[in-house]
Amino acid sequence: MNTEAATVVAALLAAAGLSPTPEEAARLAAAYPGWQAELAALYDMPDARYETPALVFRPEP
Amino acid sequence: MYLTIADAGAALRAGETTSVDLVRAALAVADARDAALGVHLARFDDAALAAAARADAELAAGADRGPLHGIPMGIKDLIAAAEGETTAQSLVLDREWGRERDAPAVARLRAAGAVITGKTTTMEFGIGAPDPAKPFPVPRNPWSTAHYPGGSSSGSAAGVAAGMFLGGLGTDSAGSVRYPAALCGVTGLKPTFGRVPKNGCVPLGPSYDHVGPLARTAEDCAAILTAVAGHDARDTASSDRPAGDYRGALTGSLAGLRIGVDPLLGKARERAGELDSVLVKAVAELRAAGASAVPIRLPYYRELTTVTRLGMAAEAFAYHRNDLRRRWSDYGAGTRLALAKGALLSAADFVQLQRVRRAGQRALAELFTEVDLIVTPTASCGAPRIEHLGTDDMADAALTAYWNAVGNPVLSVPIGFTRDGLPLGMQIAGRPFEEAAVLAAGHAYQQRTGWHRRVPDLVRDLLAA
Repeated sequence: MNTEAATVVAALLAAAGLSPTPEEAARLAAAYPGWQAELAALYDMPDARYETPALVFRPEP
Repeated sequence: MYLTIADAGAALRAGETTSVDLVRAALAVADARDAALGVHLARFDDAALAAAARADAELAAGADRGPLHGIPMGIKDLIAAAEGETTAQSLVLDREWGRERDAPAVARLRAAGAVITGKTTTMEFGIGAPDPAKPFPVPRNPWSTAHYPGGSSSGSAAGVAAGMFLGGLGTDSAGSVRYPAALCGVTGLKPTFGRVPKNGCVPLGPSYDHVGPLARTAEDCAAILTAVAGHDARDTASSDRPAGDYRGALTGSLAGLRIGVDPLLGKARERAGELDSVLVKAVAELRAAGASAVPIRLPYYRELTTVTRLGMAAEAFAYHRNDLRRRWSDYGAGTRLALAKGALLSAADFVQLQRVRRAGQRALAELFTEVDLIVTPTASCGAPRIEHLGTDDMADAALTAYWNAVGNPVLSVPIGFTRDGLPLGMQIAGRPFEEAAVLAAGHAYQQRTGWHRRVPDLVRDLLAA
């Protein structure tokens, strides 16, 4: 068990107001480093460095 | 029994059958096999038979609404239909949501003459994995009831394969039309994002969600798409580009088309031993229909797949946060964990996903200057066994999520079987809003092959009647 990941995940779940079982929290914590690595790769993608996000806001509802 | 919408429509117009007969035959299959397959969450037998009788009366009076006139169809239970409540296969969804109204896609099917026979099983809210502890059927694959039919449009795909209806609607946020289509040996289309309005559908990841058809053939999917495509101002993502007559674009020839082929090697932990030879044969058929084929690599495959999996979770979490706080245990075990993933992303992460999507779209658009269509496997292996179900395993085997990050149209067609008799599928992707080209390629392939007409042993005797 990655204790740092477990601590971060527990804090994020608590901040979101979620109450998973200990086993569920452990599963999320086990997967968390992998997701973080995938996210880090997205921040390191050269073609996205100066890209505009695909977010659209329209001035009318 | 007629296997395709086109065959049934021809028989209707030739006076060889009636819509009432088609609906009765479909309901009879459901009576006999739904307990084994878990296709339906609700059936509308009386309403369907009444609608079929009206369809027959209209045809007799010379009023023909087109290819879907009198055709029995099933609707994934994330999509509202006036006959009954929408559950999203969940204890959590407010049963007043969508009550007594049609989603625009369903209303358009109905206007085109389709007969809605029932609501079909899904993964809860379109995500996670079936939870046998909840009071809903666990859908099973018509080719082997020990196996899963794929999700999340499980019932619509399995129901088409089993002959419980001739076409269906599903939703696709990471492959939920294409993956079950492949695993059940039927044809399914994720249209371009915004091509089919998705208001009236329970959202999952609103910028990843698509409504799309499932049927035995590309031709039938084209008929359904022609009925449901088009702008609806109530859906802010809906495109106002004119929709076309997709069925009319099916020529059977692919002369002059350039097809890029990426087998997506190494993109999943498991790979069926038969997949590569089956895919090579499928591409050979596309060549025989007039296309040229060249090897390509999809740009940013890992990155865009990550975008869909994490971005969809983030968007879904916004919708489910308060219910997860109050009713955690009412969600299925797989669903609540998949949704909770969305709580672990930062706002900056979410924006970065959107930057990667744009970069991915640009890279893909560049690739589409060199090829007209892109072919890949739909899934790396056949259907997983029910007892091995797990969100990560399913997500890993489905080679579909990439396309939800970019929005292009993608068709899945059946191309063969594993040695265990489980179907395999091929994706055919095109440029945005070029559904006609994608469907034409699928149709040309199916003109030369018979995989889409294979019938599972479980229903062979019923469909032969």
